[in-house]
Parts: sequence; C-alpha cells; structure tokens
Amino acid sequence: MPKILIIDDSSLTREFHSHIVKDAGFTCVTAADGMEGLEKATTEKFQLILTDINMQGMDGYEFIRRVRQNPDYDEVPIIIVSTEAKDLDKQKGFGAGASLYLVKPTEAGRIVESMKMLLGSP
Amino acid sequence: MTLALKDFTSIRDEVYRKLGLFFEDSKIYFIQKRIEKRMQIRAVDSFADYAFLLRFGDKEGSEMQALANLVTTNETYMFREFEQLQGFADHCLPMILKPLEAANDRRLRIWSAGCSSGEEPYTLAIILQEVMHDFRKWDIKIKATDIDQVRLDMARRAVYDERSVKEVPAEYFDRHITRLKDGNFSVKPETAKTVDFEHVNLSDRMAMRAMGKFDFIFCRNVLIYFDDASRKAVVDQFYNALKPGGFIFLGHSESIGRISTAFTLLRVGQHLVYRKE
Amino acid sequence: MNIQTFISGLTAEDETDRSNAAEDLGYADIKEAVAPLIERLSIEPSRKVRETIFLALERINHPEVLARVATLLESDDAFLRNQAVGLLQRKGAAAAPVLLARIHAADADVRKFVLDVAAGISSLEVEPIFEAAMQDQDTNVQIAALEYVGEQRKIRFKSAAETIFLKATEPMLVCAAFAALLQIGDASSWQCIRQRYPTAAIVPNWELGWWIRALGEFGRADEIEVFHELLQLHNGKVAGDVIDALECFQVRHGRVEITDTFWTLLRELLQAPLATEDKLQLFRVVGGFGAPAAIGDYLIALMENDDRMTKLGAIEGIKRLDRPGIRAILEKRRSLETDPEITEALGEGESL
Repeated sequence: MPKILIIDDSSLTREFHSHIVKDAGFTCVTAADGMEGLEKATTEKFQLILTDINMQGMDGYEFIRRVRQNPDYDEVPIIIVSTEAKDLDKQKGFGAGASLYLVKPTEAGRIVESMKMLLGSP
Repeated sequence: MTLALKDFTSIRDEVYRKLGLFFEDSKIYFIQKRIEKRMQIRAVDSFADYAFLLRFGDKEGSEMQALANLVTTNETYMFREFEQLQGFADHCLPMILKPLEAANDRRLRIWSAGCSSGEEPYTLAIILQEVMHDFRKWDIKIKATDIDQVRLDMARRAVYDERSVKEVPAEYFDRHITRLKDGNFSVKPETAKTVDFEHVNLSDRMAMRAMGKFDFIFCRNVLIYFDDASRKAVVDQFYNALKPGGFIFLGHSESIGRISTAFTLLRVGQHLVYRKE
Repeated sequence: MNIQTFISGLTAEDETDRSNAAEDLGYADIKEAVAPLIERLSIEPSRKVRETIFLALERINHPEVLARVATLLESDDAFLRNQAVGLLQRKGAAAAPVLLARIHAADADVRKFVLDVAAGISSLEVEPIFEAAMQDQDTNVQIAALEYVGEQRKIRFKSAAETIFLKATEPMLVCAAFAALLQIGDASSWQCIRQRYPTAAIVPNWELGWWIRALGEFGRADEIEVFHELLQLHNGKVAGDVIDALECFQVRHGRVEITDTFWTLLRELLQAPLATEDKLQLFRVVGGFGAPAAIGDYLIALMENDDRMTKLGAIEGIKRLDRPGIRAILEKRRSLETDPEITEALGEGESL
C-alpha cells in the first residue's frame, strides 16, 4: 500500500489531506515543516510526497531540492500544494523538482486523481 | 480521561516549537503522566485546555520550562545515549578520519560543549582510544567547556561515583577506570589527558569565536534550557566552529531543524546525523 | 565600534567572516546597521549567513527593522518571506503598525502572511487583522483565519464561523469552519451542523473526523444512536474517532442507555483487531453505559479470559459499572490472580 508523506505547517491542512489520502486507501505520515519532512523521508520510504511551500524554518522549495539529492527520492512523485498561484511560483516549483503543482484550496477528487495518475494504476 | 492523540500532538508540537525537543508517539504514556502532574498544579481540567495554556497562556514560558523539567532528566553519566555514541563511533568518526589519514593530516578536534562534571568528554576519550586502531599516531584534543566553575573543577579531578560509571561497557572498564579505596572511581590519567577543560559561556560570542575549528561538536541536553534567541545564536556559532564536513550532535530527542536549517541531514546506519556541508 | 568595518565584513570571502560581521552588526543595535543587512540578503549565496543576518536583524531594536523586514513579505524569495514572518512574530506587538498597514494589500498572499504573523502575536493591537481576514474575499485567507480563531478560542467569531459553515461549498473552507466550531462553538453551532448534515450518511468522508468529534462535543443525549449509525456505515475506519467521541459524550451526559443492537456491534468491535489503547478505551467506555445489563455480565465473564489485555480491559470496564457488589467481585478476583499488573488494576478501589 503506497505510503504518502504530507508536509504542511497548518494542522488543519494536514488533517484534511490525511483524511482524503486515507480514504483513498493509502497510508500517510505528516510533518509540520520542511526539516521534519526531510527527517521522516530519510528515515522511512514514501511513494509520494505532498508538500506546502510557505513554512517556517525550511520552506517547500528547499525541502524538494534536498530530498531530490537523496537517491531514494530521485523519481518519487512530489506534489506541491500551495496558496501561491503565480506562474513564477509554479516555475520555481518545477525547477526545484516537483512533479505537479496544485493550488489551494484543494479538494478530494483533484488530489486523489493526481496521486493515482502519478503513482500509476495498481 | 485518555490523552487523545490530537491533544498529545498539540502539546508535543508546542514543546518542539519552543524547546526543540521532540517526542515520538511511543512516548505518549510517559508524557501523559507528567502533563497530568502539571494540570493538577495549574488546576486545569482537560488535556485540550492544557495544550491551549501551553500555546497561548504562557507568555513568560514558565509553564513550558516546568514541563521541560519534568520530561527531561538532568542526570549525567558516562555513555549516556549509547546508540547515538555508537552512530558517532561506527559511522561518523570513520567518515572524518579516512580523508584526514589519506592527506596525512592526523589531527582530530572535538568540542564537548556544556560538559558539566566531565562524563561526556571522558566518554569520548574512551571511545576514541577503543575505536581508533592507531590512536597514538594522532594529535587528538577534546575541548570540554562549561559555564559552571564548580563542575569544571569536579571534572578535572576525574573522580566519580558508581552512578556515573555504571554504563561504561564492561570490556572498556578496566582499561580506563580505576576502582578507588573509598568506593569511588577515577578515570585513568592516560585517558583523561586527552581532555582539556575550559570555562566558556556559550552566550559569550567572542569566547565562542576564539574556540577554533572542530571535527565534532557535542552539545547534548544543554540547549533546551536556553531561550529561543540564545539557542539560535549558539548553534549559529557552532556552525562557524565546525570544519567543513564536521558533525554536530545534540541530545537524541533535540531537533536541530527548529534551530537552524543550514546543516545537512545524513542517514548513517539507523541514525540521522547533521553535518556542515 | 566601527560600523563600517562590520559593513565591509559582509562582503568578506570567508563565510565565517561574513557571518561574524552580520552578528556584530546585530549587536551594534543601531539604525545604520539595518539597510546593509537587508541589502546583503538578496545577494548572499550562503544559507547559513542569511540565517545569521536574520538573527542580527532580530537583535536590533529600531522601527527601521520592522519597516524593512515587512517589505520582505512581498519578496519572490520564499526563504526571505518565511524568515520575515518569523521575525515579525517575535517582535510582537511592536510589529502591529507595519502589519495593519498591509491589512488590505492587493496581493492575497501578502494578506495571508500578515495574518500568519498576527497569529503568532498575542496582543490586542493585531485583533483587527483577524476581523478583516474572516471576511476576506480570498478563500485561503479565510481558511487560515478560521484555523487561527479556532486554535486561539476567539469565541467572538462563533457566529461568523457558523455562517461560513452553512454557506460554504469549497470543501477546505467547510472543514476549516467545522474545525473552528469544534473549538469555539456551542449548542447552537450543533444546530448549524445538523442543519447542513441532517444524517450521518451524507457527511463527506473527509469531514467525518470532525463530524464525529462534534457529535461527542455537542450531541444531545438522545443522539447516542448516531454513533451506532456511524459504525454501521463505516465500521472499523471510524472506530478510533468514535471511541474518543463516546468518551467525551459520556463526560457530558453521564450514564446513557444504548440499545441491544448497538451493544452487539460494540461487543464485536471489542473482539476486532483494534490498537491496544483504543481497545482499553472502548472497554472503559462500554462500562460507562447505563444499560443493557448484558454489558456488565459480559465484562465480568471476561475476567476469566486467558488473554491478558482482554482481562485488563474488562477490569477497566467493570470499574465503571453502576452495579451493586462490584467491589466484592473485584476483591474476589484479586485473590485468584497472580499477575502483578492485574492485581494492581483490581486493587484500585478509589474509582468505585
């Protein structure tokens, strides 16, 4: 069963995404900032990562850059989920190594559809 | 009532935010007992209310410190946090020694910051002697610093009671520790001489700059007693005091991520360690 | 103290030297140190030195810092934006003026950052920011506002949260209002929740967690069967949340009676593979119901069970029963047991 890492500084958002992810049949682990996310990603293997951008400490772009340096996460799909909607932000996201960029507010259908598309059908 | 995971997480996150201390889910029972103690003292009925108090009703940070005092142990003894020391000895030390050896630059510098009565630096001295096959060929200095002059004097004497030495691995014991007639124990001079004790206040930035450069810095279970700004300033200085590739070790449940994101995270064996790139 | 030396130090070749120069400028604590530090941020390649610069800025007690750092909220650089939020939070009430000046910024992202800073400052001066954010046209700002007013128990926003909850269609916004009502709501909020969701069956799956919690916090005594309905609809998936909510429900309503069929379902749940803590909690919960009598009989019979956890759970449940002779039953059992944890559990008579 694919394991998903959810990184967001908002506990509401973490809970919202966790419910959606679990309801879709995945398991998940959450982290409140980029550094905690990096620690979790380094300790256990995830098949997909959902990350926010604006967080205290280590932001999402930095997280993505660093996690991509880990050979285990070379090809793992990373979805950015952010309030930032400008093209520049999206470019930065893909430049850092994201696979997909979703703009908040997100809803269950879109997230699950994106995840399934990136993970490939079982 | 049961401590709901949600409230535990709320309290745990706040402790992490303010002190940089992290508790895993497995610690929920341990933390619950201590929280209940504080709730009784503060006349708070529910865990949710205590979490609220901690987050929004603790301007001076006194409740956080009171909780911190309950969830951390002040005791110091040799080979404390054994697994972390194992990670240091088995993985990090070779990573540092190899290139130095290859470059014929056999100098090793370690800083034990907040060394208290000396158990940690002596532990490191023992480990180095046991793990490095050509220990004698190296120029090794362990700098052990503390702000407390009384503890430093104790440390220099290198005499300890049973509690401090009980975790020293049996196979190392007799090589480095002498049993004294009065029931105490002393560190053998051959081991002790690797360590230099010095009075240093971690908040004194000029003293910190004068420390020089190190391959390893240990500062375990010390920073939790600092306020946020001071803690960041100290770690900022530690970064400067590390040689490129050098490692920093905080207490195993202290997280450096909340203090600075400048360090690089590395997995070595089962451990996560931080180093300067 | 030669400030010029420190300023030139910001361009030194060595990272440590630049870091020390920044730190010294911070300790200088004068207005003239601010601009050079801010200007260095945009060209400094080292993440470490950038962090040191922010530590230095924080050390300077001059309004110039607040003014200049607040402009970083508009930066394209995520690092600068987020560091700015942190620094302004730590400056506290002093940051209020620069925040209030941006309360109606054209860019919704900036308005959200202003709100994020305000959420980290407990001072009356920033309260207008919450007022504005709760009515913001941008959904993300509203969602964040709801999260913050809920966490901080700003009960004066209860009606606003109820209104949003009833009208919102955007799922995240509904959840944000839901979560806020759990913190600042009351019996009338429960009416709103029931108005939107008259039955458990139409609650979207991702909102179930909040719904169940709301049932525990606000549900009326006669709504006990809704828990039954939830377990039937979703079985194991919601067990953890339901058990927590039942405990909360019992704290408010005391000894409520459940139907035989509900008890049957709970008994099955007790035998299902649940996490240990959940199972122990469920045992305590079932012992707290008023009827049927079958619950007490079942728990007492379980004391003969071979499985240790089951025995411990049963004891926890029995201690909550309202039945004459419980103490005697436990005492009698105690004389037959040898396991220290079990005898201790049996001996804790204070709760009877």
